[in-house]
Amino acid sequence: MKVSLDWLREHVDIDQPVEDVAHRLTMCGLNCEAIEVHGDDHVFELEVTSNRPDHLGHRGVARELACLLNRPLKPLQTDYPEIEKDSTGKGLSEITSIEVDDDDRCGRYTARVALDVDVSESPQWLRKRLESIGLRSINLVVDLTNYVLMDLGQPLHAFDLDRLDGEELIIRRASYGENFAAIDGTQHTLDTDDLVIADASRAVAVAGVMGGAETEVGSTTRRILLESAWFDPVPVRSTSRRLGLASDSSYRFERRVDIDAADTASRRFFHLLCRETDCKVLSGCWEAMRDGFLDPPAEVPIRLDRTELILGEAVPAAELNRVLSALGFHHTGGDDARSLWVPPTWRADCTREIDLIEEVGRIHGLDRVPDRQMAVRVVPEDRDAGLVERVKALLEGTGHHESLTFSFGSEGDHRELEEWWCLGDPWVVRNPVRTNEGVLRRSLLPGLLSCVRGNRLHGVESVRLFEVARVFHRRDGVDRPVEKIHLAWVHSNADGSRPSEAYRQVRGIADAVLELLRLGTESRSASTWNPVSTSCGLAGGSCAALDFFSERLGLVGAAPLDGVTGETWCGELDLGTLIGHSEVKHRYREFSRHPGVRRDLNIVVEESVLWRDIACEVDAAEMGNYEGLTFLDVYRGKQVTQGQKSVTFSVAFRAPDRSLTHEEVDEAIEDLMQRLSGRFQARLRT
Amino acid sequence: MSEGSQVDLDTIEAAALQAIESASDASSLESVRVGVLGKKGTLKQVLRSLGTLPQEQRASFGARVNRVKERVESALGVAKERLGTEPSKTKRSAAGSATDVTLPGQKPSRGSRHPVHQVASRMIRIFGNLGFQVADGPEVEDEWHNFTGLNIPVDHIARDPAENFYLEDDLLMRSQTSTVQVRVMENTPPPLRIIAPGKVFRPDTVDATHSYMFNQLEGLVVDEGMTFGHLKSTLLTFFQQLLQDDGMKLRLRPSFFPFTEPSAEVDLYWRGGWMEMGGCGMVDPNVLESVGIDPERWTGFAFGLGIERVTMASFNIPDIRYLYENDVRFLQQFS
Repeated sequence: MKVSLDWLREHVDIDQPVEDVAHRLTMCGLNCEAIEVHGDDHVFELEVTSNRPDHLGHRGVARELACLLNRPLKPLQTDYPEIEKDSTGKGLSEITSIEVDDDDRCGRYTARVALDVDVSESPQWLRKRLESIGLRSINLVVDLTNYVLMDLGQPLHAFDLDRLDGEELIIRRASYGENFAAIDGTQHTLDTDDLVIADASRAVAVAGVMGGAETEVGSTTRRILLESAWFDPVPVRSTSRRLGLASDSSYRFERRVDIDAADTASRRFFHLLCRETDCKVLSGCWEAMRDGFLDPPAEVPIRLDRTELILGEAVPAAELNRVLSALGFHHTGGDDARSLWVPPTWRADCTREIDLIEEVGRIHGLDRVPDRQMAVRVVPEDRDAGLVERVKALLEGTGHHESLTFSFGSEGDHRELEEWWCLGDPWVVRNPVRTNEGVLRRSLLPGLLSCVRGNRLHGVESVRLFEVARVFHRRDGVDRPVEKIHLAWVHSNADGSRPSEAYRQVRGIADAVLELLRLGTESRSASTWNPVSTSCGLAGGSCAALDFFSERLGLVGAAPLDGVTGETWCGELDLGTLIGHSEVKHRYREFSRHPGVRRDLNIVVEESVLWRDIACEVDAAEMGNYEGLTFLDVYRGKQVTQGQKSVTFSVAFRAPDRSLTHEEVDEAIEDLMQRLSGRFQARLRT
Repeated sequence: MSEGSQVDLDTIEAAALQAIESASDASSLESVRVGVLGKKGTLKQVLRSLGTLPQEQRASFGARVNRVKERVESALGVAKERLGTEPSKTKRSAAGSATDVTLPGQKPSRGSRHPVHQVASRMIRIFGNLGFQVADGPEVEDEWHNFTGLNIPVDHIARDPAENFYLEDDLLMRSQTSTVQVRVMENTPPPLRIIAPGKVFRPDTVDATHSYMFNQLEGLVVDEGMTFGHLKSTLLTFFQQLLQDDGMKLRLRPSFFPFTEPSAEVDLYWRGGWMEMGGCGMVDPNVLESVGIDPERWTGFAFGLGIERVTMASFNIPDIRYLYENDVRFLQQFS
């Protein structure tokens, strides 16, 4: 809201430097975002919070300054001469009447009438005021309504009384499809939810939003009817939104105008009108008011000790009293320790003790409250967060860059991948910002793959990314998304390496993470990597799933990206669930310090034989002093019959108590080869 | 004799291996070699005594001497490699041309942490030192936790569907991490001292300083005797630790949030300008009451800081959108 310093001086004496005034306003809650020089005036751009509609007028801001500077607020002139009847002998009640059909939405409606108005140009002082805050001068009547609006925060609207159809104004709901031509030249089709001011034949204003073009005040206007009313905030907002029609008036009504300003503002308008031009104001005022509308607000207590407890500093009773009185609160009783106050009508936000304490703190200066240290407190260690941190360190240490993507996804792209993780429908976002972000993601990979694609298309030849974030699954019987923490990683290279190597690299990350998490014995034996036969959105034939009982906890495989050369491989783990099964307990285990023996074996088997089967068979042989098995290589090519492959691995032996000799393992290896050839028709490659 | 020779052999081997182990240069290694394996070396002398043994023991004793000899030789080989006296195979192949030691090293590929997560981790660590425990809540919330429990009335503009990402029924993407406050207070009696970092969602128009998803760090303290002074001191200590810069200033400027009262904006003066870092205030009594905490006995404060704001200020990043592109050339700058 633009606020002119000169204008403020109409309400309170200010002789402080401009910057000081701006600073004082900022530090009491009226953030001054800019100061503009306007001739000999300065204009503040103030940020008004939604709870303070009283700051949407100069007098409200001036009241704040009066309190801050400890100066009186000047009284407002609202008197003007009145006449009882017009030249034909009619009084106000004979000329017009008001009927409020819907007092749910209109708390109060007042109307006054002026005759023989000379709608001329505005005087210099008025033009200057309006121009300083960015408003264009139109004519004296319109300018004065705007002036009072910007001064007191009360919207006014002047109708040309002679352009109304009939003498009665009705405040009613619009009929469905009713047309309305607004002052700003726009055309609107109204709805039964909209409140209008209507004459005998049509809507002449949308209540609280804008007046109609057909009844606007112009140079030919002689008689005006001035509306000063109070409309409920919520309907004004929804109508304004729906029609796409906003004004300085709707802005204020939406934020709740002072319930007691309508009459004052109306009288202030006529005071100024009579001062600036010749006209005759009919005495009296048409007024319609909802029952109990102006009932005084309830008293609010404030305790000195509670004020000190909240602020952390004692505020003297005299200062507390001064601040609240200056802000318009009425002291109604109690003593210094606990006093009672009735808030002013423009402060609907003040109904509780804490609201009053805030007022005292705000004016006193929240920033001046002395620092208070809290007692020491120990934070227990968070095991799961520590594990996530170690997993991230692992990914970072292996050359992956951590990414940050949005929780949204698209229903179409990578549908199979998303559905592999969760068959339930995705959670739909009602109003996505981007059309391809219409659902919550069920997998992290689509987002990460799109980042990889961006990188590769920008010429980054080798990309390794990872992310730990949430995915959102739908589970039967659960009425909100099941949020899971996933880990995903992607490797993409312009020059493709051998697919089996690329697979092993991307799979190796999963293996390393699982090793780090050290699943409990049962969980470890229940989790196995299997070839994925169903469609999972990754390239068929080279992807594997980590199955865990009936759950799917991981997926690795190739993800060819359109238009991106080379190879892209990726993996994703349900990290949260895996961490739940983690049993990291580091305990020393005795190990043999004696030399062992290692045998490299190179066997030829059918293509269909999986490494996992070979490994199981080696384990099952239960060889004496067997220590472990290491995969070395797979070879397919000239030297091996087609449809077969040669697999090289090494078998290690070690005795706990002595050095092993080669002779000692010869027999075991021979038995092992017999076993492998019996099971897989494996033969040693020569 | 055989007993004695056995002892001799073991002693000779142990002494030789010990000497090889402790040799610090090539010449001392060579003198060990001569002393053990040389013509007049200790092993040769033992071998000379072979003739004195009974015929049936000679073969096995000879084999044992040879094994000792092999082990000493192999230890010598290892030691020469260690001392650099024996040119290794690769070095031999490069014989005649010394290594160009000004060649760059071959770095292992190093990844990086996302700058936002780096800053979040630091914030968590600093608040951890101040006794704040990390709490967690869902990214998808219901209206009760996102609004009602936070004293945001039904007709409040913040609930407008156009200002939020609604899903089904009353579910929506949380628009602030304050939701975690409510969840923690529902389940844990005071005293409380928690932080909740995480993503929040508001359908803002995207520009250099706005994104419709960003990260916030929420803080909440509920205890007996908590005042605005404690809030101020906590935030000041935090920013001092975070920025490590004496030129920094913090200002709490009165503002309005439905869930705190008094409320204030957290303004940070750093590197020559004021920046809004988030909001804070004393927990509104309605919020405490809605979760069954007696506001007469317990008071508290809360704050929400924008992690992207802090990140951009810390690393001098001019545009918030850069944070979500995940361009490797951007990310690796923060490794």
